Amino acid sequence: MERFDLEKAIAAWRHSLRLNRAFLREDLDELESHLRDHVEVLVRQGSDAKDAYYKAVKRLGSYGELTSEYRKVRFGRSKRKRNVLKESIWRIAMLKNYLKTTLRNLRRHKGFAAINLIGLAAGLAGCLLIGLYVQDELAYDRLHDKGDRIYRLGHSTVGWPYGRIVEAEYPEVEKVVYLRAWPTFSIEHAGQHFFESMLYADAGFFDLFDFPLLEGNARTALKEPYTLVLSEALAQKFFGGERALGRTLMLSDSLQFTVSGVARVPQRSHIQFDALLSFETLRARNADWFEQEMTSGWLDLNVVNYVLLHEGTDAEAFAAKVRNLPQERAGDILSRWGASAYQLDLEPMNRIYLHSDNGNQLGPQSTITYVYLLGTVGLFLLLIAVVNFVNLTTARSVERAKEVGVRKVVGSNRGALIRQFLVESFFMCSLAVILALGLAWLALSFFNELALKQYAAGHLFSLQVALALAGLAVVVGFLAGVYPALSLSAFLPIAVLKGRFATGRRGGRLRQGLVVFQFAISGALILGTLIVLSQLRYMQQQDLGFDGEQVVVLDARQAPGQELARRSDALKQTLAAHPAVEQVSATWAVPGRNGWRGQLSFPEGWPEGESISLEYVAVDHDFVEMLGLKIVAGRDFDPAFAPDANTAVIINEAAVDAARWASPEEAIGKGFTSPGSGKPDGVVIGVVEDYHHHGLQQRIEPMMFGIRPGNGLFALRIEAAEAGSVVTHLEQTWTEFFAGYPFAFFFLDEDFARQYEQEQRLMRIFSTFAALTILIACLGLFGLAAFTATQRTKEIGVRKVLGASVTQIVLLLCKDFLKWVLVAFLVAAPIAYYAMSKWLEDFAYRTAIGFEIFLVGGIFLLLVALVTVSYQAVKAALSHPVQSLRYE
Amino acid sequence: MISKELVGASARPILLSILARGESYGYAIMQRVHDLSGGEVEWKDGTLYPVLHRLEDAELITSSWRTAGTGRRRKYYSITLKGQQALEAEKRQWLRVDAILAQLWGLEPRLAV
Repeated sequence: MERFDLEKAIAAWRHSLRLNRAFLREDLDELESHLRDHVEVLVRQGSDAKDAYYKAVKRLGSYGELTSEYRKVRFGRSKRKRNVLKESIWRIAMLKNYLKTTLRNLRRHKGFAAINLIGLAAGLAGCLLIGLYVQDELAYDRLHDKGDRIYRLGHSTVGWPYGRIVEAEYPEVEKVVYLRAWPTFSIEHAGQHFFESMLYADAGFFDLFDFPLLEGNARTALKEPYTLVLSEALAQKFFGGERALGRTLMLSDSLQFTVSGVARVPQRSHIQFDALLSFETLRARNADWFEQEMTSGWLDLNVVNYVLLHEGTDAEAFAAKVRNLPQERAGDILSRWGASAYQLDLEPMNRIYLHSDNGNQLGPQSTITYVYLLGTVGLFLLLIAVVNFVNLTTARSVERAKEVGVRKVVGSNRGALIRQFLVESFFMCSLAVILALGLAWLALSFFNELALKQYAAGHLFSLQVALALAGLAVVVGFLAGVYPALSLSAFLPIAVLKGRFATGRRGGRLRQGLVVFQFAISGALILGTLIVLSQLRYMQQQDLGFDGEQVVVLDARQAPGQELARRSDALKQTLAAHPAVEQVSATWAVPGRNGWRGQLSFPEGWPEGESISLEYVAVDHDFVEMLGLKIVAGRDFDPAFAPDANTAVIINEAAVDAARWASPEEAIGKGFTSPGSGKPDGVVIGVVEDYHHHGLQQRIEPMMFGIRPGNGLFALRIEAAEAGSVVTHLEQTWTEFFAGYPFAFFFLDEDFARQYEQEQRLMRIFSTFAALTILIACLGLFGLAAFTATQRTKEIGVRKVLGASVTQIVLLLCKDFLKWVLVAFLVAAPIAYYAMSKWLEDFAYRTAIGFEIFLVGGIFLLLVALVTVSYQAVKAALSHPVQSLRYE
Repeated sequence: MISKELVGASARPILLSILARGESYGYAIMQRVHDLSGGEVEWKDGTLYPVLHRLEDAELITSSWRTAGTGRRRKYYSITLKGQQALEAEKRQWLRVDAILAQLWGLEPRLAV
């Protein structure tokens, strides 16, 4: 037995107390001194050192007794000081510790962390860009102070008298502003002719709308005739930053205008213009016509009226009052024009950009559908990313269970653990947010193409976005962290440390559910992509009924009108002179471009006052042949028949049906009467087979073709190989005829395909986000597969020892996941079917959603999942059983 | 044996009274209490110090470290003016209690001012 050493014993005793915060060093000194005094006395009384020591220690009090008394004094007396300072120091220290643990975890599990981060960042980046888009779309027309009281009268265009009537007779109306759309003047500047978009606007324009005026006076800018307000961009183009006010510009070579102001036209406005001409100009140019339009122009497609209602007006009640105004005031005239159903609508100005469905607008138009669509996709993306994060974090809970157990044993309470996991989650989210910002920046140009916007880096790196992102990081960090935090911190240390802990059934269920959710969204997006793609293919492969290939169109509509009419034939002959040009036709509209739609016409033999609506296209003698249209009855226009030039019309089969004539043959020789003329002004000489003049979204409408000189489009059928030289020929001819006017041409097939831009854009949106969601979902799946593989290492080892082949093990591991992906697809399929059927309803000609689409989509989804899982599965299956069983 | 509550209540006047007779250090104070009570007051020696510290916080006593003849450092406590006043107040209270109990039990009060 070892000899008793008093010094050692006292040192050990002192050490046992030292770790307790209740004792200061000074206290220990004092206690030690007391202990030594007592031992000394006892030894002097005859005890041996060992007995004396133990007796003295006992007298001094046990550890428990001492600490409880000292604690009372120590913490009783310095409570306040401790709370503020020590507590916060302590908290910061803990935070540092949490961060350190997080970093260690990141470093130790690089792969896992990368998957987690990339998934979250990709989702957030997509969400961020979509957020930018949605916010931008919703911010249109917000600069006008009185915006919420401004309404557009009529659907988009309306006659002038209605404005005059509501302003004079309805007390609800504070003010009416008249606009007249798109006068086609050229502006001459420095010897060049420019075609800019122009509007007539009356003097109250700048009172109603708050477009900032950089030069000029808002009240007087548009008061005088022959004055105009330039947009900032146009003023810059013409005068390069010099003062524009008071300068003169020549319009259409004959009208001299004075610049009375320069206005800034923001991009986010449904009214866009390069120049505003004063409304008074119209009166000054032709007072009689002006008065007549004001009093009886009941149906003028070029007029736009905005009304400002008094504050507090019930707009709906007002709308109901004026709805029947047209029929009340001009019923007989309107019915003579075949418009006996015409009503006056009221559109809130704020809703025009996103909600108006009229094709005739004063600026860009969008639809709320895209905002909803992208918004939903963005939300789903965020959800998938968060789900991924939760999934991967909880999947690792088994690995971390031991850590939690040890922490709890050492004295961590549940609150501290929850804080630790939340800090980890916030940290990861902050990293992901920064990464997302970078990704969004990289993807910006791609997204611009997709969303038809022009975002610059400045839009991304702004305070607003930074605040939004910070908010997002907190919200996502909480959402993603709260479940793992709660579930992990609830582990019982005894179970965990004894190794009895197994993946809870509940956790497994949740993860499976989340995987199903993710893949259901991916599956729905894949199906959406496939269905849009198949509709596009269908539309592109459909026989359009005309031969649009190898047709190049010279756009001469910007040449001065009278000059064009005079020299049209000469131009046509010069164009035709090129050896590669087979045929030339001058027409008002080629397929894909609007003729005069909605023309009312009374077919011969119909009751009085009943009309059909058709699209009239002014053409020349060569139009039918040039497009390769098929005559099914009667004959083509013939220059040899003089009357053709005046009254002969050709109609399509749809027009025959609309006029309720039994057959194309029967239609020949029948007459059409246009409103107001009283006698037939069109006699059918031929019927052409229906062809798609517009995209396949639209049903083939009744059409009528008539001969009319001065058409602005020259369509040339050419030999394809010679396209280059023909274009050179076009340009030379143009310069020869109309030097100084803008030269423009297009290829008919490309131009026609532009009608499918919306659908193509939709497909790109779908496919992009389908790819993104699949990427994120697969990252999650990859992580889960890796996790499962490690979980089942021993099982795999045992199976291999017992003779399982690699294939069997790979199958075993894949089976589980593929089952859930299949379930996800079964969930996605009906949703996609329903949504896309709705979408297809908008098309007059549409593909059927075939079984093969679901087959392809399903196989694709499974294949992607299989590839993702099999890497881990094969890796696990190939590992040597010795490795996994060595420690058993 | 004297009850724990009574020991707790009497600790303050006992310690102040001992220190009123001159400065002393922990072990000596404890020995004095033992001697006076004949072992009837059973304190754990170590719990004396928290009480002393509390008195010090209340500025009734002061302390200072000093090296004794044996070469060991000891912490000496001495009473302050405020401590003496507090002791007077304690004394009056204990005398009142003593007088009440003496009358009730028909005894001569033994404590003297």
